[in-house]
Amino acid sequence: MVGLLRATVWFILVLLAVNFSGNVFAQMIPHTSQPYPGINPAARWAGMPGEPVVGYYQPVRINVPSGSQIAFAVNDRFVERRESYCLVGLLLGANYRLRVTDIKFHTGKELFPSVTVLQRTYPPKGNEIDYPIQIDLTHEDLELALSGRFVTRVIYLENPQSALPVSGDLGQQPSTEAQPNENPLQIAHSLGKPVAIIQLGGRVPSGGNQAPTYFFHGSPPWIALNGTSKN
Amino acid sequence: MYHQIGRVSCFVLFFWAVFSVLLGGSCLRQPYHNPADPFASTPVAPPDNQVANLPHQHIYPNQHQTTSIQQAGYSSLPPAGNFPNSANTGTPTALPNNYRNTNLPQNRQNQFAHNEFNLPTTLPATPKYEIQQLTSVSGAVQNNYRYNNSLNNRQNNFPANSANPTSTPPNYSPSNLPNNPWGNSPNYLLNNSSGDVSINRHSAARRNSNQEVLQVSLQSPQPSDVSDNSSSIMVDPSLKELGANVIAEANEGKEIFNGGLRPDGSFGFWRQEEYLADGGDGNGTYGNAKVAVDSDWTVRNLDTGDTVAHYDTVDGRTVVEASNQVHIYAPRFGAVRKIEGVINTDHLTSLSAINQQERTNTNKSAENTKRTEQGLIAGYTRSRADLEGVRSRVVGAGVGASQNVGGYSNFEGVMSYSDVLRSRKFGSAEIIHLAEACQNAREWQGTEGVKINASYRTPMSVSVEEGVGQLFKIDDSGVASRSKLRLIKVASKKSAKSGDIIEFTLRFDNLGTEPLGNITVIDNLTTRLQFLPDSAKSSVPSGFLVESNGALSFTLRFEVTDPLEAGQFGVIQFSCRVL
Repeated sequence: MVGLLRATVWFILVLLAVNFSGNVFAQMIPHTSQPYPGINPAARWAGMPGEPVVGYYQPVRINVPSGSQIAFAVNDRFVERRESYCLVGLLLGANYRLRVTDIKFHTGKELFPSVTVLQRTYPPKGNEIDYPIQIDLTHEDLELALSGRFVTRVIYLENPQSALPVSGDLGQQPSTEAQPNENPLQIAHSLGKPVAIIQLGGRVPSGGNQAPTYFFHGSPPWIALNGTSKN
Repeated sequence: MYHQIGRVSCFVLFFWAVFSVLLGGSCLRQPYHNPADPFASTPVAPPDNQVANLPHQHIYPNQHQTTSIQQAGYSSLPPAGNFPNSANTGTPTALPNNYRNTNLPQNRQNQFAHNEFNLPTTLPATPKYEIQQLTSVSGAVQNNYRYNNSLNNRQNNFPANSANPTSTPPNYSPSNLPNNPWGNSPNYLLNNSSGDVSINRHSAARRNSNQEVLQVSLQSPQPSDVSDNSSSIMVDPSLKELGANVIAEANEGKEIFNGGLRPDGSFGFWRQEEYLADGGDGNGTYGNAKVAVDSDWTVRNLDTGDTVAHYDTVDGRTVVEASNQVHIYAPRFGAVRKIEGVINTDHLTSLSAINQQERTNTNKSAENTKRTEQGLIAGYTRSRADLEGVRSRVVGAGVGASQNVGGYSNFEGVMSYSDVLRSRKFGSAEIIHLAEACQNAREWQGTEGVKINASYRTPMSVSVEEGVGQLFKIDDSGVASRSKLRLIKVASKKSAKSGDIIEFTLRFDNLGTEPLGNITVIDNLTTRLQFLPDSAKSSVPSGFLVESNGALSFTLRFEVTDPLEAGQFGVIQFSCRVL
C-alpha cells in the first residue's frame, strides 16, 4: 500500500515536471505579470555575452503625444524638458525615470515612466543617430496610466522575414496587444528581438516635493542627442 | 514493488519530456514518403530524376508549401505540351564529327576559332539531355529552342529568327535550320508525331545544371589563388558587393555577436534583423531549397525576397540563376503592449485601517481587480484588423495584367549608378567606394595586374582593372558552361527609413558563348518593399507582370522578349517604397 502511494506521488511529480518542461521558454522570460512598479526585471537581459555594450549609449527616441513635455533626470532632478519627443543616448540595462507633463485633457497631472534598453542596435558607422530605437507613448497609454492602469510596452526589432507590410508613412509604430495571461516579452521575442521596455503607471512619488532616491534608480547617466531623426 | 515500477516509469516519462523539449519535437516530424505508396513504412528520398515529374503540390522535405507563379495567377502561361517533353529518356548519341560545320554563322565560327573553344567530342557519361534523331522536320522549327511564351509578344524566335512563328510555318529541312549551333546535324532534332520540333530533355538535366559554373569564393583572395591560372580568372572587381553580400548570406540566420564583415562591406558587429535583405535565392520559408522551374514553367521554392532569372539554353535546358543579395539597413521597431490593473495605494491604506477581520475578508473579494482585468481583455484584444487597410494597396500596374515595360529615354542616366552597370568594369570612382567598404580593397588596391589565363577558356567579362576582385572559378569543362547568365542586383540606397523610395537595378549579362532564350527575371519582393506602379523600366523589350505573392507583397516578373546573344546584357529598373 505504501508502495502504491509512493508510485502515485512519483507520478504526480513527473506530471508536474512534464508540465514545467512544456513551459521552459516561458520560464526563461524574466518578466512576470506582477512586476514591481519601477523595477524592470528584464533589465538583466541587457548585455548578452559577446556584445560590445559596456559604455555604449544606445540612441533612443521617445515620442509622446503632441503638446506633451518629456524630461529626463540628472542627479535626481528632472531637467531639460522637451516637447513631443526626445532623442537621447541611454546605457544598456540601466533604469531611467522620465517625467511626462502637459498631457492633453489632464492639465497639471504628471506621469513617471521607466525605460530600459535591453539590447543595442548596430547601425552603419555615422548613422547611429539616424536610426534610434523608437518608443512611442500614445495618448491612450497616458490616459490608461492616469486612470490607474499599469502599462507595459516592450519594443522589439522586427524580424524582416516575417514583418507585415504595414505602412510607416504615418510614423505609427506597429503595436500588438498582449492578453492578461500573456507575457509581452515572450510575444515580442516571437515577433523579433526585444530591445527596450517602458512601463508607466499612475503612482506618484510620495514624500512631498522631494522624491525618494530609489525613485530615480540612481539617475544613471545619459546623453542628449541633437539628431534630426524622424521616425 | 509498486514504487519501483512507478519510479522507473516516472524516469522514463521525465526523460521523454526533456528530450522532446530539447529536440523541439523534430522526432515526430514525418519524413518524405514515396507519393506512389504513401503508406509505405520505410520512407524514401525522392529520386532526382523524378523531381520534375512530381506534382507541384507535393511536399518535399524542408519544403512546407509550394508557391508557383502559375498558381498565383499566371493563367496565361503556355500549356505543358509546348515544352520539350521530359518523359523520354535514352542513351544520348555522340556528337557528330562535323560540329564545326561550315553552316555555322560567321560570327560563331570566328568565336570558336578565336577562343579555340574546346567542345567535347563525346557527351558526358551522365547524360544531361537527350536528343533524338530527326527524320523530317516540319512545323514550328523555332520551337527547338524557343517555346511559345504567350505572355505579350514573346515569340518562338530563339535563336533569333526573322520568321514569324505565329503564322503557319513553312516546312523546314534539317539543312536550313536557323542558327542551329550544330547546323544540319540530323542527330539533334526531334520530329514528333504532331510535327512540332523539340529537344527532349532528360529530367535530371535541370538538376545537374545546379552544379554548373560560378562559384564565389567567400574568402579574401590570396596570392596563390590569383596566380593559379589553371581554372581561375579575375572577373569584375565590381562584384565586390556581390561577394560581401554572399558572405552576409552565409551568415544569415546566425546571431552575429563576434563581429565580421557587415553587409555594407565594413567590419564590425551587426545583426541580421536590422537589415532588409532582398535578392538571391534561399530566403525565408524554403530556406536552402533553391528555386526550380518545372517543365510547365511552374516556379517552385520561390521565397519572398528571392530574385532569380531562368533562361533556356540552345541545348534545351532551363537554368535558374540567382542574383546577389542586397542588404539595406532599415530597422523597424514594433511594440507589444500589456495593460494591467494595480491595486490603488489609497485602497490599501483603507484596508489596513480596518481591524475587523470580517470586514477585511469582505474587501478581499477584490471585485475591483476582477472587473478591471475583464474590462481590459475585452477592450484591448490583440487584433490586427487595423492593418487590413494597409494591405489593400492599390497597384496601378494592374494586378494580373500583362503589360509592356516602358523603355529608357536616357539609358546613360540609368547606367549612372556605377561603372558596374555601365561597363562591367570597376572604375576609379568605384575603387574609392570599394576602399571604404570592402576589406579586399585594402588588400588588393595595389597595381598588380590581373593574372588570368583566358586562352582556352570561355571569355567571362575579364576585367582590366587592378585591385579588388572576387575570385570566380568557372567550370567550362562541359557543355553547360557555354550558356551562362549573370544577374546583378543593386539598390540605390544602403540605408532607408519607412517611407523612403529605393530604386533597384537588375543587370543581366550573357557571359556564355551561346545565345540565351526566354530570359525571365523574377523578383519576389520582401514584405517591407512596396512596388511603385509604373516604375518598371527595361533596356530590352520585355513583358512585365505584377502579381500578389500570397505574402502580402508582390512578385515582379520580367520576360525578355528576344534572345540575348553572347556578350549582350540588359538592365531592368524599378522602384519600391520601404514600409
